[in-house]
Amino acid sequence: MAAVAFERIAKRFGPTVVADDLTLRIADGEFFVLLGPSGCGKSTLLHLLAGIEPADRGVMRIGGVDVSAVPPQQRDVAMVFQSYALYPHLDVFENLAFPLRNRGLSGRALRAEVERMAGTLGLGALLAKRPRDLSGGQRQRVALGRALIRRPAAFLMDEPLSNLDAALRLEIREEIKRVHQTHRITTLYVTHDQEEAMALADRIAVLRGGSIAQCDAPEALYARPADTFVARFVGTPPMNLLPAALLAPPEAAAARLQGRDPASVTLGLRPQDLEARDAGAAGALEARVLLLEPAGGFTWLVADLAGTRVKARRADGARLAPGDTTRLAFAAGSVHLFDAASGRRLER
Amino acid sequence: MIRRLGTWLGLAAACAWSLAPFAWQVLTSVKPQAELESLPPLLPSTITLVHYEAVFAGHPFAHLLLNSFAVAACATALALALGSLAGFALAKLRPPGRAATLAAVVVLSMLPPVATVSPLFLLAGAAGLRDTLTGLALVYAGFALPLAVWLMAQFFRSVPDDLYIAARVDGCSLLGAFGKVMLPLAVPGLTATGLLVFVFCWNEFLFALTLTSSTAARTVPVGIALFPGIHEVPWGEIAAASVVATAPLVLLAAVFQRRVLDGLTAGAVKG
Repeated sequence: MAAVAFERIAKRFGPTVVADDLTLRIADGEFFVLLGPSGCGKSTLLHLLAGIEPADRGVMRIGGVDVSAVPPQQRDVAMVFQSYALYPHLDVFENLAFPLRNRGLSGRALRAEVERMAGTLGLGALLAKRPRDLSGGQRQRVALGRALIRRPAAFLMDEPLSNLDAALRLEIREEIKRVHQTHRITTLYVTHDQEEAMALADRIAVLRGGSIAQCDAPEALYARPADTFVARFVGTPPMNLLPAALLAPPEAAAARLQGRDPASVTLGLRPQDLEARDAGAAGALEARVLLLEPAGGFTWLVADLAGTRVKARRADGARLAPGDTTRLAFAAGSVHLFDAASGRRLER
Repeated sequence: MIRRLGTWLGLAAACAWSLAPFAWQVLTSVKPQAELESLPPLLPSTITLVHYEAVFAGHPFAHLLLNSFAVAACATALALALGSLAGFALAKLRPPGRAATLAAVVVLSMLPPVATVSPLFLLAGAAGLRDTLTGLALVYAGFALPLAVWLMAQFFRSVPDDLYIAARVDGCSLLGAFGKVMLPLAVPGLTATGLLVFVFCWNEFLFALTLTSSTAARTVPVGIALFPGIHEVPWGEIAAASVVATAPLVLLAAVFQRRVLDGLTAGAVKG
């Protein structure tokens, strides 16, 4: 187990900037999530740390030691992949044994380790099977076991849940969290799914164009997004962004613009904080209903607010239909303010 | 129904077209000497093995077969060893100039042997490798190498990158990952490539003719071509020798048929 650090890392593939002067410090035992849109080079950061790709510039440390020149097999990290990457020509036993054999373990000691790991992950009955005979969930359990079996200094996980169907995803997600709580191995986890990130992380770094848009605990990321990019990326459904000039004076007062020019401010309102009321309600924004999405206990509603599409919540959608007029109300404390030009958060 | 009939007729015609010369060869090899140069009868009146006996008794044919086998096996092994390493590097290690290298490999594989036969003759002489099995094997390996590199690069490309990365992270050195993970997964490719190279070496005539001068290194195709005497062409013996020389290839193809088919279509569909 060890702390992990990226110090002023730069990496580009042709025109794609993967990292531009990127610095990250991950504490020993921390579950750290790299969150970013697909194709932004998150996986490449893991490859850099694993030593598969060289960085153009900068230093990487594992347990305080500069590993930039250390070959992959000596970096003592383990990886879990979206594609599982189990060795198709080996059975489950040999897949689990592979990292141990490479470290010179064999015979009875090896067998004991493999069987213990298979036991904790519920793979005992599958040891003689080939990967192609396993289900997706079983394959990812084997991959987890293979990564865990030699107690690496750090775990690198590259979208390990993305190939699984919804039910299995939750099951394996719990498994990953349990493994982390049991062993407290420093984990670097890459995903584009903010819900996964929120559920697993001690801290999340939101990546955009090779640099960090914000790095914070999940709750802080949700409560105080640093800019409109993070605001839209974290939380489902994404936050509504509206020009502040849309607000009539009473609502403007409620939003506490505090003397700022409304034209220079973007309002952020989470759909959860925007309540759709009946047309008659006073002191609220008037919008036209476009769609209704029942969500069980309540209904999401997409509406047109003076030309901007917004999403709001309604405790009971039964009496609204597309085309109806509704009024959207929000609590003063739930408003996020952003600079309209830069997108940066404005503090109140 | 009509369509199926059409398919069968087409297949039958194709088989007849490619098998007819071989069938003719087999017929000729078992015909008595007297019937060899007359056309009826098409089928031999009696089946005789005298030509086969003559081939092995009258010529050093067993020695030629051994030469052919040694040269083809060594050249194939060499081409596979170098070709799989180069193919692996080109497919998985992203060396600079990868596309240019692959293009050069293709261009090289198009080079006609005639273009290089005289320089190679001089080179082999200078290196003391003329009329040796080693010389012939080296030349064959060289000629087969572009094909081997190209094919193996394609096969390794169809092995997912993640498997290579997993092997490295799980504690393998570069060559360890190659030997323990990449190579076992490329066995169909190795088989297909090896078979193609072996057949090329087994059948090769031009280099074998120019670079050898005695039975020390002569191979089967050249040996057969030298059967004819001053006054007569021993058709029966030539046919018998050809049948014997073809048999190992047919056997190899039959044994590895499945693997080769798998190999040649690997990577065509994402699995």
